[in-house]
Amino acid sequence: MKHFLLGLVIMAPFGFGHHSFAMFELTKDVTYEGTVVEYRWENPHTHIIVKVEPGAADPATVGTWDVEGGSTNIMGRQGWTRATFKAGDHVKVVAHPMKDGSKGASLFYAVMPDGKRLYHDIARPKTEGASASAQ
Amino acid sequence: MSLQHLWQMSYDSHAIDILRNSKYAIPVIQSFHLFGITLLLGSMVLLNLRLSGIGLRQLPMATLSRQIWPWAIGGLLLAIASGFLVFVPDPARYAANYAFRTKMAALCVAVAFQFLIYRKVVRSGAAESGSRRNIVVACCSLVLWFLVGWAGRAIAFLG
Amino acid sequence: MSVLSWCHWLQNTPWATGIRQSDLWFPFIEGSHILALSLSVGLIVMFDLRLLRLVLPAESAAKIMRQVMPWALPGFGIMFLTGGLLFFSQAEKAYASGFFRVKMLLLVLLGVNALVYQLKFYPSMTEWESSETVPRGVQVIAVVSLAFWMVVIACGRLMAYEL
Repeated sequence: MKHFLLGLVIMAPFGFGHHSFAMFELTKDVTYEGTVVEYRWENPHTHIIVKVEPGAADPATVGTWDVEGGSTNIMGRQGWTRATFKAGDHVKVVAHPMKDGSKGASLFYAVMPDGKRLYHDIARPKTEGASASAQ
Repeated sequence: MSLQHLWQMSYDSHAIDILRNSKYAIPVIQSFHLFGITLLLGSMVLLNLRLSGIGLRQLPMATLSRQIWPWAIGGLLLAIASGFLVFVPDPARYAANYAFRTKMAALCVAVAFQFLIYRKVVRSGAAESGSRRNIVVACCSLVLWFLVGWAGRAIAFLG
Repeated sequence: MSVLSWCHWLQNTPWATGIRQSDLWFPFIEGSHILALSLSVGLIVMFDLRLLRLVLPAESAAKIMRQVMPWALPGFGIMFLTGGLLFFSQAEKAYASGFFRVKMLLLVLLGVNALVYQLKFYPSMTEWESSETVPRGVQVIAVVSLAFWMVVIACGRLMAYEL
């Protein structure tokens, strides 16, 4: 927990000034890989609905997940656009799951086909290992 | 001690952990922040409408300011206290947010203006008239306080 | 067509979608909704405090009402306009939200509260407004107003937490 948070400190963290991230397990980085059901480019939060098929590498990720990003402003500055994804696209995102076990998660970053990472916000780990994941 | 060390103290604190991990604590504290802002900005609207001579002309400036000023201060203190409680569980995030920094700077200017210039003007005899100086002072006060408000909103949207 | 599916249709109309996806308009409308609290609820709060004789006790409550209300009405106009636009752009989520429903109910009750004041106590205002003791009914109306506005604001904030 402390490692991760120190990583956040190094990462020049971003402005979650809206409600609270208390509902997400911020210490866990979980990879969801599957198909885009819906890509909602909107305010106050962008949402990527991801369907992970049975037989996935991590069985705990099987199902349909609501991955929540930031505002169009904040995401836009990271390179996201309204056309970054569309329904049917293959997608791989790393996110922090909801604490209560429901199928929602807070976006950390998406991995694009060329390997490039699209972050939720201005967070850029100076060292890749700076944010220690729990898995 | 660097700022990073200071922030890390918050992340290491068990007591602050409770606040940080509570599902409803932060939104409820933010509601109190809004109560404070409503009191403060509402007071500023009333005082400045009168100072500029645009409204509330039947209410004497001296009485209005004497009666409403404590509520403005109360609102400001509530906003600062609740704002502090929102900031403390996640200091690194807010400190790096440009909108937050702008808000803090604007807050300092607004408070300085309110206590140094505004109070002097309101307590002087000339406050009763809607003179040009009074209009300028009233406008500055409103612009500064609403700037703080808008910067606060920008924290979530502009980053 | 159910209310929920009507809300779904409403928020997917081009204008509603435009607001929701706009870098500028959504933050501006939402920010205005919050900051116009000072022009509406903030002024009403001061009047409620006067009814309870906690502020400006020496000034006529009727005079304060006459002087302040002309500014509060446009303030509430801004609140309803921005609130309506926000609902328009997020109708489905708003309708499904428990906090939103409570907020709307309280707004209706606040309207009733104001109406009761208007009909029952406003006509006789000059009789009781300068006395040290405030009529019990007026006290109740003022306290209900203050309490309900606080809950409305909190519901608005908690609603955003769900979205």
